[in-house]
Amino acid sequence: MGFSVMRNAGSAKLSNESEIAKKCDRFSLPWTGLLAAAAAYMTFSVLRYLNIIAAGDFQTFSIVFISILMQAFPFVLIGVFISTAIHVFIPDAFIVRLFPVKNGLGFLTALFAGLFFPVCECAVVPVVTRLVKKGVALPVAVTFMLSAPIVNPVAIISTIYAFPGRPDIMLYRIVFGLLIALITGIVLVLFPAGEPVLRKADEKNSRCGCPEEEHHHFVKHGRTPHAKNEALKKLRIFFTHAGDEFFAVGKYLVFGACMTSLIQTLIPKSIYGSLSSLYTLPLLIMMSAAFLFSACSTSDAFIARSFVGRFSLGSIMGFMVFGPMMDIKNIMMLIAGFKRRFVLKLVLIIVLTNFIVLSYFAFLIK
Amino acid sequence: MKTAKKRGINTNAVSKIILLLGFAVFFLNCVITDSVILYVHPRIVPVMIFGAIAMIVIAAFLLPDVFRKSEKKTGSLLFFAFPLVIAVTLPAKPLDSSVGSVGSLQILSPGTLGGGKADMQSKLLIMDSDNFYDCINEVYNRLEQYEGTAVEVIGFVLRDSESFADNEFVPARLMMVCCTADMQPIGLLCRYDGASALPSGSWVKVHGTIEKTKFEGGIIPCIFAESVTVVMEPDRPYIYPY
Repeated sequence: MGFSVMRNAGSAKLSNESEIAKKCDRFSLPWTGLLAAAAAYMTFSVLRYLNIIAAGDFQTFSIVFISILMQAFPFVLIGVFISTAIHVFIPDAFIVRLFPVKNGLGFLTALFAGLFFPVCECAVVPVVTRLVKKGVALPVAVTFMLSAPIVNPVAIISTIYAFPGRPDIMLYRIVFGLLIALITGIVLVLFPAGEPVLRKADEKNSRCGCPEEEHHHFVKHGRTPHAKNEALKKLRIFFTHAGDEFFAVGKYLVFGACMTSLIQTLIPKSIYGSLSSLYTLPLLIMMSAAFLFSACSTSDAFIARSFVGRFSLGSIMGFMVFGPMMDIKNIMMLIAGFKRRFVLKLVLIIVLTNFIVLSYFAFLIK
Repeated sequence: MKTAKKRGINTNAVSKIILLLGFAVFFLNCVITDSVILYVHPRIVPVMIFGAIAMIVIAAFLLPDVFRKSEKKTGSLLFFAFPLVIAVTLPAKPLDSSVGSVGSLQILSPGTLGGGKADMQSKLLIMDSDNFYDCINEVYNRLEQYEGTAVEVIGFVLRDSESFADNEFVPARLMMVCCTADMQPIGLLCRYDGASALPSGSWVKVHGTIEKTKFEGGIIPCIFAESVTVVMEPDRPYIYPY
């Protein structure tokens, strides 16, 4: 998809990049999708002919693919509804006041907002994109995005269940999750993006399905007394907008889910276990496993559990802390709202922060 | 229809409505026929129903747009059509347990895990779909107490070709935490003289006693089976902890 564009971006100038990106937006998404599907089908047929994969693998792929979407769609819808509600009903100034930048108060809100505003990583991306559009400081919004899936009450409970009698593992997960979220935010304060990070098309509201004036109407004047069917109109704006946003984010989610299921079908999970015997950078292995699995933060602790005994607790923390912050689905959905250059930078910062902090942790508990 | 064509049907809105309703109907159908448990954890079901209703409502609000012209491009909607076609055409089927996509079996490790919550201090330990996960935690963590306990367990025959002897297999269940993407087999090691005659993946009921055994350098619980009978696959093949 956008990966070739990303590679080019390094050498090409800014104007060039945006042009490519524009072209890419207009044509390549559906076409690359189709091409990728065709290529995948060809590869599949060849592999099947060579008996490398069994016919049942396609069945496995589809069930995994469908099941990821089945649980992700509702949560993305929740995220999209929250985002739309913020967009349509809440004035910008109010939101910005909720996340103040001064004195780090905004960071404090961002770190713990997830406790009261329980969203997992699928739902958090549309919300964060909206917060940034509304004017919330980027570092604060990113901190919220990284911490919310980890302090999510459901994620906390499932971590306790997955490691019965070991509440310390749950605590480590929360402490290091929050620490890394905060550090990433501070890094973004120290090295500001310096250019707009949102995708142009979205900034102008031009892709929004409903008449633009109507939004501003609600936002500026609140409830207008006249029209009888005011409520219905409001609902209509709300749902058409939510629908647009769902389709805009959803296509990236579908693509991410497709990649994840392909990887899951073709690479046996046991390979991560056997890699541990190499003793080379187990933390990196755990982090890449988390990235490739794209498991939900509310369930990944149970997968992490299966690595106990083969990997150290420090490395397993890499799976449980880095996983909710970054995976294929997340990156794809971020690309729906943010510029690719920024997403790439963000991914690098998050990977590095995770690696450094967790290496230190692994060293401490040895 | 002809008049509609003259005014121009908004293909974008129509496709979106079809996709939204398609997914909503698929979700609800899975919930009604209970095939949903082959895809996601039962805890997700209420959220799915919410999702289906949300999609129907969004589709309803898109209806007025059907005859309104739009500049929006429809191409990217292909992304949604692809999974929907797969979902509708392929019947839900329990995953083939022998496929490598399910996680690897863990029978060596849980040394660092604490005690399970289940209290199973009876003469005969029956591991069923509801307590399978708790039983395993319990037996691993208080092996001394469970030595010699009679046990009955239903599971499918799972072998790890590298490290298993001829008389060893695991009557395993697949555990789902969220969706099929995170499934992994769990179970207790079992020794049985006729084990090699049992085809991998077939469902069996094992009667035996729990004993300590050495396995790959660690001490783990093992069922010494007295009888193994072939049984039907349970209605709900997976187990769902918490």
